[in-house]
Order: sequence, then C-alpha cells, then structure tokens
Amino acid sequence: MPRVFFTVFCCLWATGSFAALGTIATASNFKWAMSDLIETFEFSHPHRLRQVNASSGTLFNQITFGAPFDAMLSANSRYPQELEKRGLAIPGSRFTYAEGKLILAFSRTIQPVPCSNSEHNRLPEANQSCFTAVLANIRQQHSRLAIANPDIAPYGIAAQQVLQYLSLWESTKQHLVRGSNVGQTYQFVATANVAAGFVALSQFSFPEHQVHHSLEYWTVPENWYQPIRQQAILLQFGQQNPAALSFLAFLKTDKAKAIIRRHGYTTR
Amino acid sequence: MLSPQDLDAILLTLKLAAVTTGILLLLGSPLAWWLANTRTKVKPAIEAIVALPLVLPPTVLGFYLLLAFAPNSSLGQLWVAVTGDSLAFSFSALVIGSVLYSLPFVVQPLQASFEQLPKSLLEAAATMGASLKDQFFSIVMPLSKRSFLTAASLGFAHTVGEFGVVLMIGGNIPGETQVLSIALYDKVENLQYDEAHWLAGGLVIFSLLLLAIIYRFNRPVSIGSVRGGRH
Repeated sequence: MPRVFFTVFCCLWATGSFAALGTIATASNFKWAMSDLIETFEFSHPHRLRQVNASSGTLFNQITFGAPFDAMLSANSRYPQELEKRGLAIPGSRFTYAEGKLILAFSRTIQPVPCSNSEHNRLPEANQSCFTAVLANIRQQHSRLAIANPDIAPYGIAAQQVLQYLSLWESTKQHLVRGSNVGQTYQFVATANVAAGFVALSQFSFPEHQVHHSLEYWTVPENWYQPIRQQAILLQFGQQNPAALSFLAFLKTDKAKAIIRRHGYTTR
Repeated sequence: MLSPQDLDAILLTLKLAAVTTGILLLLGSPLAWWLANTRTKVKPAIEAIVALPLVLPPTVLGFYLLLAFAPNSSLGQLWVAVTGDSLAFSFSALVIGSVLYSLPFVVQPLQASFEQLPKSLLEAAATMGASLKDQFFSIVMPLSKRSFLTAASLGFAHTVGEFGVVLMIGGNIPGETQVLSIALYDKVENLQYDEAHWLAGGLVIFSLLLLAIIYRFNRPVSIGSVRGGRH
C-alpha cells in the first residue's frame, strides 16, 4: 500500500499538479487586487503564491540582478518587453491583465469652490479648469503635489504626462514630492503630508481603507495620458513553476477579471 | 494583530541576527585580538575599514553587494557553482550583508577590552608554559566575558535594526528575505497602520530591553571581580 501512495505522489510531482510555491513580483498599485486574486486562486488550486511588491522599475532591476521571481505583474508593458528582449522572460507569455486608471486624490481643503464632484465630471472644459485650479491651490497653500517617481513607476509617467498635457509640468516641478512607487505616493496623500497626489484608482477603491475620509478624488480623463497597460509575464526563473503557470492562466479567466475590475481597473 | 506573514518576518529577523552574530563572534574575535596586539603600520588602515559601516550610508554597501551578488558576477557564479543556488536576493546574501554591516559593533568592543588586558598576566602565563590557546581560553575569555556579551548583543541588535542594506539586496520576499524592518516599511507604505503599530512598538520594546541588558552588564571589568575573592 505505501508503494501505491509513493507512485501516486511521484506521478503528481512529475505532472506538476503537486502543490508548488510561486513568487510573483507585483507592481505596488496591484497589491490589493493581487491579495484577492491569490485568495481566490488558492481556494481552487493546490498551489501557494506570495507576492513581492515594489515599483515596476525596482522589480525589473531586481530581476535583472537575479531575483528568484517566477512571474512579474508589471504596471506597464515596457518592462515585460525589455525582460523578454534580454532573455529573462519566456517569449510569448506576455499579456495585458489590467488597464489602470489614474486619479488625482486631494484633501478637501484645497477643493476649488465651483468644482463640486458632479460638475467636474459633466463638462470637459470645466474639468480641465478644475484640475488646474486644484493644482494652483496646492501652491497657494505652500503644500506639495505627490507623484510616483516617473523614472521607475509607470503611474508616475502617467502623472507627468497629465501635468504636461495641462502645461503645468514646468511650473509644478519644484512642488513635487516623488514616491518610490505609487503605494508610497498614496501614503503621502493619505497621511496629509501633501495636499494632493496622482495615484491609482485601485488604491482608492479598496474598501478596507478608512484612512481617506478627508480625501476627495477625481478620475483623470483617459485622453490626458497614455493608457496604463499592465502586463504580466512568465520569467525565466519560473519557467517550470506550476504555481506561476496556472496563476497566469487563472488571470485570463472571467472570474479573475471580475476581481480585477472590482479593484478599479478595466480588463479586456 | 500579527499575521502569519509578520510572524515569519519576526522569526526570519531573529534567525538572521543569530546567524550573523555567531559568524561575527567567530570572525571578529581573532580580528579584534590581532588589532589589539599588532604593531604593524597598517593598523589604522584596518581599523578604518572595520569602522566604515558606521559612517557609510547603507546604500553604498547595498549597491556594491548588489553588483557582487548578481548571477553574472564572479562571486555570484562561484556561489552557484558551489551551492547550486543563486546568491542574489537570498537569505545567504542577507547574512553576508549583515556580517559586513554589523562588523564594527562586534570588533570594536572586543578590541577595546583586549587592549585593556594587562600584558603582564599573559606574559606570566607564557613563562609558565601556557600556549596561546591556553592563554586565550583561560585568561582572555574569562576576563573579557562582559565584552563578548556586549559585542554579541550589539551585533544582534544592530542586525535586527538593519534596513537600507536589506532593502537593496533582499528583494522583500516574504518568508525568505522580508525581515521586520522591511515588513514594517511595507505596512506603512500600504497604510496598514494597525499591523505597523504592532511591529514598530514591538521593535521599540525589544531594542530597549536588549540595550538595558547591555548597559546593566557593561560595567568596567575589574580583574579582582573575575578571579573572585581579592578586592
């Protein structure tokens, strides 16, 4: 009898359906969605997953320095493409798992009087002047605007594009605080250390966060910045990892997409 | 309260600090002994190198180690050849980083204590035929007991309190390289203040207790009290 068990064990192991542990490098903005996804995934699969969070650029650097990550969920497509090019990821495994939305989160104290939330969403022209007014109020109150570091964080690049679209990049530059990723950027705003910041909608839509009671947010019109196509890719290190492989497959299911949408992303 | 992942981080931190302290005592004692007794001209240079981690930003050490541990570096490749595992972002990498980073905290108290040992005692022992080994274990060790305790506690506490180096070479992997200080940073960044309070408060109490113990035992060593009897 023990021999039978042993054979079964070996077969399971050989076919890869044996429980494995996967390490997923996950962009900071996706942390909460990822926690939900992992919970649902582990419920229906034998595998276990853990996520490692940082800005996509930091994760990219760590992977190039040999970090033992099985898959990467980046906040853009550039880093996964680059990993593919360098032979650090499996060609053809790249796909868009979510499209991110940029928001401007700000303290109610700097909300311009004519820009109530309903009005701001109605008229495109009013919209732009409302954004400009909020950003002007930041300067007036000698506070600062937080964005994620555009050098390493895709949400920071989007924020920079918005400021450039509004022709405010040059004038706001000196009033910027740069978070090392979008998580830290949001932390600066949520702790009221800065009056406003460009962050991800996903951070705000997380219901357990009661910290932002004094905060307001506006969704940034999508034509003000390049789409934030968040791509996932299987890394060279995780080529044989059954947990990473089945998680990437799981990400494409309707069940996973529903979770992702609930966290403030769009999916296709 | 604490999540299983936080408990992992606590255990990992204690393990890292214990391993680091053990290695540091093994490597640091001979180094401190040599520094205390050598008359070589390069002594100040060696002392300066030992003290470097005290003044350098941890990011400097982190940067060099990151380059040294990378799989395409010679050290990285040697490591893979010998152990079969990658060195980058592993627990072993953290140990190496911590040993370098906490080195002065172990070597300096030991060296200070060794320098205060009366040379005449050792000379007397030598004339009675005690080998160097005998001298170390029968005279140096008992007389420097408290300094060893101080050195070990400081090395341990400083490793627990490490942040910059482990942030750069650890990669924040839960259960493998995510030590307490990194876990705390993660919590703060993600606005999980309840958990952050548990970790931060726990660290304050732990460090305070450890330091209180160090200061409690760190009284000036008198030869009479160690040998007992004659005061």
